[in-house]
Order: sequence, then C-alpha cells, then structure tokens
Amino acid sequence: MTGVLLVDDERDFADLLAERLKARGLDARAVYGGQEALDSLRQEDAEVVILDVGMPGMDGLTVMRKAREMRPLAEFVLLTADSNLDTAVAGMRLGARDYLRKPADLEDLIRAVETAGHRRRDRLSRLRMAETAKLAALGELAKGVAHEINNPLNIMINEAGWIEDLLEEKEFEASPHKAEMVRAVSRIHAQAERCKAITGKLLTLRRAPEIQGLGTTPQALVQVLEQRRARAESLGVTLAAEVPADFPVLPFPAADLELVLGHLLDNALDAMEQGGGTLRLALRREEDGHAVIEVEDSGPGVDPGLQPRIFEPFFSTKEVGKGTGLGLAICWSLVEAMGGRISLYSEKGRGARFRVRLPLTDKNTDGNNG
Amino acid sequence: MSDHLTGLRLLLVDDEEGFVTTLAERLELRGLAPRVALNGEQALALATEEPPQVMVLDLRMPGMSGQEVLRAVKGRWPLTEVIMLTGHGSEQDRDACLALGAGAYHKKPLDLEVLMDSIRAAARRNEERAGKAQAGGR
Repeated sequence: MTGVLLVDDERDFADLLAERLKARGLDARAVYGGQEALDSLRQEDAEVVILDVGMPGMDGLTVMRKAREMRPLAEFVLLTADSNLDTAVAGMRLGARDYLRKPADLEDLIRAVETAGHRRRDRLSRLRMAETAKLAALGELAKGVAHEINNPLNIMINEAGWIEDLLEEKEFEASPHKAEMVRAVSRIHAQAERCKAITGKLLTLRRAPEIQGLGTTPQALVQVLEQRRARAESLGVTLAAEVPADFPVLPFPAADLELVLGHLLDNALDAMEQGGGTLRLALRREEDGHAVIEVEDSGPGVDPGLQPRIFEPFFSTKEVGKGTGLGLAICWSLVEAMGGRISLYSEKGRGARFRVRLPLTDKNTDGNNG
Repeated sequence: MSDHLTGLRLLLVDDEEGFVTTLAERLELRGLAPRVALNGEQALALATEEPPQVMVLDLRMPGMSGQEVLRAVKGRWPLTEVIMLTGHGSEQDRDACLALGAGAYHKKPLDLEVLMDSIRAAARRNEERAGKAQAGGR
C-alpha cells in the first residue's frame, strides 16, 4: 500500500506517526491543518487519511466532506479527543471507517491504517468487477443492436442504389428535378453508409482476438505512431517514443494491438487539437512479467467525474457527430479479451495517460476470450 | 460483354424478398439475368432444373440454412461457384463456408460493385474449371 495522509495540528505527533509508518514501508506524509490537507489531496491522492477532527480552523467534518468529494476512494480514520466524541460519531455516519481516541496508541493507529488499506483494496476490486460486468453487458447489448440494425440497413443501401440506378435511365434525363433527386438519394446512401460504419465498429466489441499470429513486435507499435506523424506535425504536437528495440515480441495479434494503440493515439491527438503539446508512447516490462504500453498526452485532461464512464460504449466527450463513443469501448474489450487491463490516469488540466497492461506469459493469453 | 457474364446462369438465394428482388433488378440493369429463390428448398429445386454457374447464397435462412444448401450444392454440382452473403456471420461461419467450398464470403450491407466483381471472378473460375473438366473428360 502507498499513500497515507496524516492531518493533525499536533506536529510532533503527526511527524512521529509519519516516521513510524514509513519505517513499515508505507508512504506517509503529514500536514498540520484542514486547508493544508485539502491542498495536499488536490495534488496527490491518498489511500488512507488519518484526520484529527478537533483541529482549530476549518471544522473537521467539513474537511472530511470536501476531501471525500475530491477523493471518493480514500478511507478515513478519525482521531478525536473525548470532548468531541460526537463529532467522530457524525464522521462515521459520513463514511469514515474508524475512529480512535486521543492520545492514540501508535500500534493501534498503525493497525487501523492497515485495516483501512485492506478494506480499500477489497472495495476497489469489487468496484472493478462490477465495472467489468457492466461494460461487458453494455458491449453485448450494443452488439445485439448492431446485428438488428444491419438488416434494415442492408435493404436501405440496396434500395437507394436501385433509385440511383434508375435515375440514370433515359426517361429521367429531361426531368427538371433529376439533379435534386440524385442529390437526395446519394445523401440517403451516404448516411446509410455512415450507419454501416458504426454497426461495423460495434460488431468488433467483445470480439475474440484474431487468431493467434506471430505476435506484435515493438517496431510494429512504433510504426503505428509514425503513421500519425503528419497529423501530429500539423497540430504542433511533438512525438516521443520510449520503445526498447530489443523488447520481446508481445504474444498478441498485431491487428488487435495496432487497433488499440491507434485509437489511443488518435484520441490523444484529438485532445491536443487546440494548442499542440507532446504525445508520448512508452513500452516497458514490469517486474511481475507484464508488459505496459502507455500513451500520454499533454492535452486538457479528463474531468474526474467523467473518468469512470470513459470506457462505456457511446460515451463520448467529443462534439456530436465527431466521435462515435466506441473507440475506447473497443480498446477495453480487446484488452480484456487479451487478459489485460486498460486504465486512465488524468487530472483536469494536466493531460491524460492511458495504460495498457498485458500478460507476457503464454498461460495468461489463452482461454481468456471473455 | 467479354467479362464472363454474358448468358451467365446466376441464382440468388435470400429469404428477405424485398432485398433479393431489388438486387435481381439491379443486376439485370447490369446485363445479368439472375433467377431468385426465397429459401434453400426452392434453390435446390431451381438448381435441379438448370444447375447455376454462380450462386449468391444467404447464410441465415429459415428452413435449410445457407451452410446446408452450400453442402448440398457442392455435393451435386461441384462446378457451381457459391458466393456467401451474410448479415450475421462470425469468423467460424466464414471458415466453415470456405472449407465447404464457397468461393467468396461477404458481409451485408455490401456495395453492389463489390458483389459484381465477386460474381465476375466466380464466373471466370467456373468457366476455367468447366473447361478443364471437359478437357479431362475427352
């Protein structure tokens, strides 16, 4: 576990506790007031917050409420003197996990922090499972809709083509309305083709990965980036690739990984359409045998409130008609089918970083087609 | 027409009547003379009367499925070239159809010019194989 924030106006106590937690391998930082705590949380997330509710200045419960709005996944442990036990009880109602009376025994506190950390992990994994189930269900639904729409679409395109054919016949040559009819039917045709492109994309949702091929080389990934160089230059975006040439071949079909990477790069460029910036592609190996592909842009970032929905089909922050809201949903389903995980790290105004984590060992790559 | 289409015996098989009749008319406009069957049984009856050189066959139909029709056609008239057309096909369907001897596999909605090219290629293959079969028979 990382990230414990200690908030107590008794500096000696806060500092000592931070030291003790660090000695246990936990990443702890101490601040000495409510406003300071909120500032610190705005900058950096914390997994557990230990909060003295009896500090001078901002009311302890107000601090907690504001902190929870900002970091809804953080666990709170409250510290309280006997004289304001009521505040602690009210804090529990607001969602704090635990409270300890001051002066608190250090060992008790450390135990409370550890328990809160475990609870947070459990809660996160439950949330993630629920999220996975929801996205899978939405993907199935979208795919079903696409199937149903394809049939009438097929007929529409065929009939529009038939009208186009007929308008070429001699008898229509003299008609004063011919040009208008040709224009109208070609628009019907074009819009139907647009629907077809959407249903085509939908049908790739929850698709099993392509038949195992030779895998994907790091060079193939760099190639996907290079294909976007012209657009990047026209937007004033600098490209950076941190891809080791001797990286092992990724045991996933190139067509699928290139599709995922292409979507992420295109989104990143879309995010930097105004004002340019830097687009970074990185590939690295983690100690636990996973490969990580990162795509990072320096665009405006993603609103924290929108982040939980960003992988849902049809969810788009782009203008209507500009994005189908399917790109990231497709990325999610392909990565999931590879036995991997895709996630977003972003703070408003500070760019966005998409991270694709994939198992490199063979046993993780088969029998996982969801 | 020098592109193997003149006098081509072409059979369209699809249960979506509105689709297949319009398709037939559009192909007629391009110089073809297709016959139409609305299900597998009808298709086999028409083929028995006069075996088609090229068949455009829908995969999902009530009654006999496209795959069953394909198997029957390839068994009785091995020279007939079959073009599969499907709105719902999966990768497995495609592989199965190709293994059963289909010459092409397209997803609906399909651009008519793509279908025309496919029919043209199928007609050429049929002519070549028929030529070979005859030469071998003598």
